[in-house]
Amino acid sequence: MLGSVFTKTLRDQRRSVIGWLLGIVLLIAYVVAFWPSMERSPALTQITEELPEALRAFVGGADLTTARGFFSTQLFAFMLPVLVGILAVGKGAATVAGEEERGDLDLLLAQPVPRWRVALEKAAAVLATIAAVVAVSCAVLWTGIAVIGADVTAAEVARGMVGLGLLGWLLAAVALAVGAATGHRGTAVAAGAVVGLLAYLASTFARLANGLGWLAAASPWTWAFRGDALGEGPGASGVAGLVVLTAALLAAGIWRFTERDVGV
Amino acid sequence: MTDAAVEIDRLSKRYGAVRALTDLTLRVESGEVFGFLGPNGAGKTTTIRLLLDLIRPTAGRAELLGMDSRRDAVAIRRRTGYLPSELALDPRLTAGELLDYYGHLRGGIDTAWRDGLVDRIGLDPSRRLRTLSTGNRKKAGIVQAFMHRPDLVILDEPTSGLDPLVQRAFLDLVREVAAGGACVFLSSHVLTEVEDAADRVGIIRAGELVTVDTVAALTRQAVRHLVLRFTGPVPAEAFTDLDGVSDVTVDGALVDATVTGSPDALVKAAARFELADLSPRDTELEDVFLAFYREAS
Repeated sequence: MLGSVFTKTLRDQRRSVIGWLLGIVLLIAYVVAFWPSMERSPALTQITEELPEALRAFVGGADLTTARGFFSTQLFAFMLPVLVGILAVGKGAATVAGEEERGDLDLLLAQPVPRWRVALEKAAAVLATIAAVVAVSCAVLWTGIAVIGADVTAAEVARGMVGLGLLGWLLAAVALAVGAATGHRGTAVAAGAVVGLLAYLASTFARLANGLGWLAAASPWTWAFRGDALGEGPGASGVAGLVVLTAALLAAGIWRFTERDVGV
Repeated sequence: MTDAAVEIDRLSKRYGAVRALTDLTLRVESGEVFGFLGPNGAGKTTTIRLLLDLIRPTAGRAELLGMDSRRDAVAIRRRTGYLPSELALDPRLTAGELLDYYGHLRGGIDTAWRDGLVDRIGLDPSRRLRTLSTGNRKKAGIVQAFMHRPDLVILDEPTSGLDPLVQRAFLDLVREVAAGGACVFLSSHVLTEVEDAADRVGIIRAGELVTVDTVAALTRQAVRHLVLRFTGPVPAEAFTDLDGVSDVTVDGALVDATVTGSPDALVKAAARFELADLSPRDTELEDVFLAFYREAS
């Protein structure tokens, strides 16, 4: 694990990632275990029908009476993106800016590895970590759904998870790029959190307001999940948008990192 | 030009209105141990970080091992060892893991030489860096700076925090690699820490190079405080108007004097009385500067 900057960065993240993963798995298990009793409850259908449209949009606008809608809402409308988002922003900010503030980036940058490559390998390791967390979440959710026999296909689970992972990548890229460009961990965390929050608000509230549909359409959150995460998923355009934006942010952040003074 | 390990040409660094380094021009040869001296905040670390391309100059340029410090930074770093002054190492790694990691990034190193260094410096590679004292962490820093047999070693305050025994092992190592043709560029704020190893010394103050000279020549101009204690009271007249002696205070059996250059006149004057003790007060680098200020004014 000490052979390259990439593997070393993976190693740096393993302990805290196991903790996050445990939390995410517990959440998924809890929600999955809840579905069979919800499915049999006629009151639920009634509640959903009485729910004001605003509130329904707030939880993702999905139909809570179907398994697909239920999991979309309970997992993908808020909880999973928040958990993965915090992980992504935290790792993105800690990886270049955090090490620079701690001081141990100095000696690493004195090794015969180009500065852009150090940043790129570290970014790749953060994205790989997020991908791994989402892949495990995907396997756990699919297994749970299979166990309780809910009416959700593997493709639908995968769609939702791809959206989740790409949104996580984007938020990690925001934090990593801002951190690489400025060297300040706090600024990087703030940037990631603000982008995540604005994307969420734009996606949920703007959809309700007349004339603000363009704002919802511009939100990466919408690109990742659209109406309901398991039903529609990001689609080709969503995937392309998220990937291109992630790559552009990382490229800009790494470029700025190679140009500036480090550790001042 | 071919033998210069470090060739600095009017290198300057500014942070807004603050001039961290102004027009530094300096040449250090291969095989030379160069002491870069100055008080804290004088621009030593700024210079070193400019040489390593961690920060970029406002003006001027530098060549290391015949290569441009900016354009050929990676090629330079392949043949350069570096020890930062505020050494921060990943606390989760053991010292041995740290050396492995940097060894891999360098594309593999001579592990027998590295293990020899670990023994000489007295580093315990199995300890986690988090659990090591500052001095022991510094040992890990020293080993990683030398382990790939660099042609140029740039060390920022290497001896601070080291115990005297390790300091000696370290200075032996410095002399040895210099004898083998490498250039060692080491900074310090205390003259005594580098005077044994350095061939030449450059003094920097407030971002400007004040002088470059041999250690012997600098000590000739150095200002020292000597305290003489006699067995009985001595007359003040005996210590007035002595060559190279100033600021004399005579208080009974105690004489306190400031000496520039040779203490010969003072010692001869003191020899007429029975001396109980003669001791220097620590020579601080500031005192060496003092001599230059007096010359300048």
